[in-house]
Amino acid sequence: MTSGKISFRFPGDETHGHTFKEVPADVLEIIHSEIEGGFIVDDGRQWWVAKHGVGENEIAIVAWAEKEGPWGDLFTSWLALLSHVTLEEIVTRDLTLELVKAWDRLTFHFELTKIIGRTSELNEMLNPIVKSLAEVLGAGEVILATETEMGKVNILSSGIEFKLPDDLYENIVKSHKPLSFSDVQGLIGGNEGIFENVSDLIVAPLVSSGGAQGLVGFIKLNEGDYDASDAQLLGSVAEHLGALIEASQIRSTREEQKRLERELSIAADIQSSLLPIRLPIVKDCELSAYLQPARRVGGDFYDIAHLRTGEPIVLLADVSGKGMPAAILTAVVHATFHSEAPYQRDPSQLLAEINRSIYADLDKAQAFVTSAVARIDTDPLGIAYASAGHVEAAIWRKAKSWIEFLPATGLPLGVQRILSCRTKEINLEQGDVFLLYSDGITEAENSDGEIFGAQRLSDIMEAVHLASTETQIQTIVEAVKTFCGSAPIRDDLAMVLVRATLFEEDIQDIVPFVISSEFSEISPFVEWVWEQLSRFASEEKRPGLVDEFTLALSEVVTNQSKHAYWNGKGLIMGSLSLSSNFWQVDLFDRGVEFNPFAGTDFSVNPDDPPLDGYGLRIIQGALDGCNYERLQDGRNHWTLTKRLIGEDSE
Amino acid sequence: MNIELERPNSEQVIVRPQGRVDVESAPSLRENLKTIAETSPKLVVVDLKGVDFIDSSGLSALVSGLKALRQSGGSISLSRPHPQALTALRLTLLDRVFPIFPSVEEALEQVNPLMP
Repeated sequence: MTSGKISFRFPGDETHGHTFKEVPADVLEIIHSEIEGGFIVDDGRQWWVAKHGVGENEIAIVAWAEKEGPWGDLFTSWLALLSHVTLEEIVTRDLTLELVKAWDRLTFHFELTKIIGRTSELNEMLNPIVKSLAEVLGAGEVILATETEMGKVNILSSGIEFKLPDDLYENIVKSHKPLSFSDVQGLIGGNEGIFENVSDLIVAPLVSSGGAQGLVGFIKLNEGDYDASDAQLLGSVAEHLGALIEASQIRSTREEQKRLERELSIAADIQSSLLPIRLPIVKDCELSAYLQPARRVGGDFYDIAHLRTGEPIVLLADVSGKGMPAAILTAVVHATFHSEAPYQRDPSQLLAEINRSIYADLDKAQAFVTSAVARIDTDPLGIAYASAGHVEAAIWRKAKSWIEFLPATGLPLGVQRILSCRTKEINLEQGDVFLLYSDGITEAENSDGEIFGAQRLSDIMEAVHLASTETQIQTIVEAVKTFCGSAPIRDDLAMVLVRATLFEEDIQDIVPFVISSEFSEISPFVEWVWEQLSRFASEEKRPGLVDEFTLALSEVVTNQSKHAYWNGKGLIMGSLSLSSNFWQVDLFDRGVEFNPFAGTDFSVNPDDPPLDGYGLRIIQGALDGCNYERLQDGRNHWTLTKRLIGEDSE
Repeated sequence: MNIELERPNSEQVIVRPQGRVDVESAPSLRENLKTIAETSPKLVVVDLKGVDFIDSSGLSALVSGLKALRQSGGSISLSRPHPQALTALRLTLLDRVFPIFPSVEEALEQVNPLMP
């Protein structure tokens, strides 16, 4: 905290009004010299000297402050102004009185700075400020009317609160200049006894760049009128207070934002701590899960509990609404799920019990929860599934190469006091993939207003079903992001994916991909494939084989982009199946049908080479197999294969 | 893709594409070669040193340039292809159409082709 003191002196007189001592020799030297003023730092104190006038009329004003503080600019301007004003007064009026007055005004600005430093609460500042201001003015009152976050404030320096008619307040605030009133009692009615002895009131609107609004005024009691210098001071005070209130408002808004941010951050931590720390290891199954709230906290979540007999029970829920209100309800559902799950073997019964427990809370909050529950059985492998109004679950059937969707088996939680719901038993075969997801996936929207939809989801599940469950989930998330492009993802994304383990792993790696069909996406994709292939080619084979394969792939993808989508927007997806002796790429798109192999008769006469057809030539020359088929569901499917065995002997 | 042009003399032009020559950039190469053909040079050397990837669109642009040049009695040679470009030329049999040289100088003098 910085403190300071001001004194002044002028030639031919001793220090006046306030002590003027311990002035260092070099400061005195400035006072008595011809120099106009100066600034000296001495043992940690700062000294300012301002001088004005000449000979008999010269004034020197000296100020000092402890330590470093925000004094510099304030002082320089005030000292200059003060010495100037005082000089004028010396010529015409009683010097001593004016100097005291000037000193008091400067003191007020000091006091103001001190009050601001003591507290950051605007409401705590205002009373001391008007009190200090009244002291500076001598007999009389100061009034202040403004609006803070606590509401309207109308105060007098004597601590009394008064009533101020709204229209008067508005008129003064909009006046842009100091106003003087003599009949204050009549002006501010309804304040019994407060303004009885008032002889004069000058009042000015607070000056600010828009944030602060209000007025400040001086009231004289039984003592005649204010003069021009009072109006000048009032203008300056209105400016200072305006800036002060505005700064305080900005500060409190920032503090409020910080507080909310802190609370949100704690809530997000709590919510993520409710997620299962790890997924269970289940015989003959692989599990992965994903959660991405659209905001810091969300209404979607997944959860896992176990029956007393050991079977894992998976829950995926979507609380209506978003943000904090939804997040609080997720905690309620979480707690109820964990208390009921061990005892409810039947998923529909479990949902009914959860609904019974939380119905009243949801009803009060006017919220509902869609929720799917799946019990995983291992002998035989299967799933018991129930859904309270939740978006369809999906199953990729490996043997039949198709997708089944499982609709809801009951209404959402919170809709009816007694939930009526059914359970569906599903068997899982090797390689089947069961996916629970939230509508944030299928209803993700791009900038054209299209939604991602169940069709794209099933296309991707087909393309990536051989990859690890973690990779499958990541690919679906990537696909949603690629699809949305620059459009923000507005909803929470949640998924739980269960795959019945596939026991025929002769392929070493399955790498799925989803890209946008724009030309600009092709070259990064081709480079990425080049890197993937390079892991599976020995050093001596690498350059030729990898170059050939990626070139052929580039030709196919360019062809998909150019012909299937006419370089419009679409998704191209698929997977690389890689081992050290066999490479395969499956590519799917939903563009128009295009058979590049129709009418192929390619030869190159050196004297008259054809203008095009080279892409096809590359595909045929570089690959061992390239198959195109138009699928019945309206997709194009390309299969590119290359055998690496025997390449050395060729 | 950028393309740099150099004219060592009135009858020869060296064309230096930089970067990828694919479906996005091939039209620019095609246009450049067409404009050059209008000045009827005897020989255009396309120096592939700076081309790290070329696909069928790029090859097609080269063939289209060759056809335009041949109309005024000119021809195109290639120099310093990367292995990827050689692979593309080989697969499309265009290595039999374009003389390919290990350096720009040899291409300008038409000596020591990579494949006779």
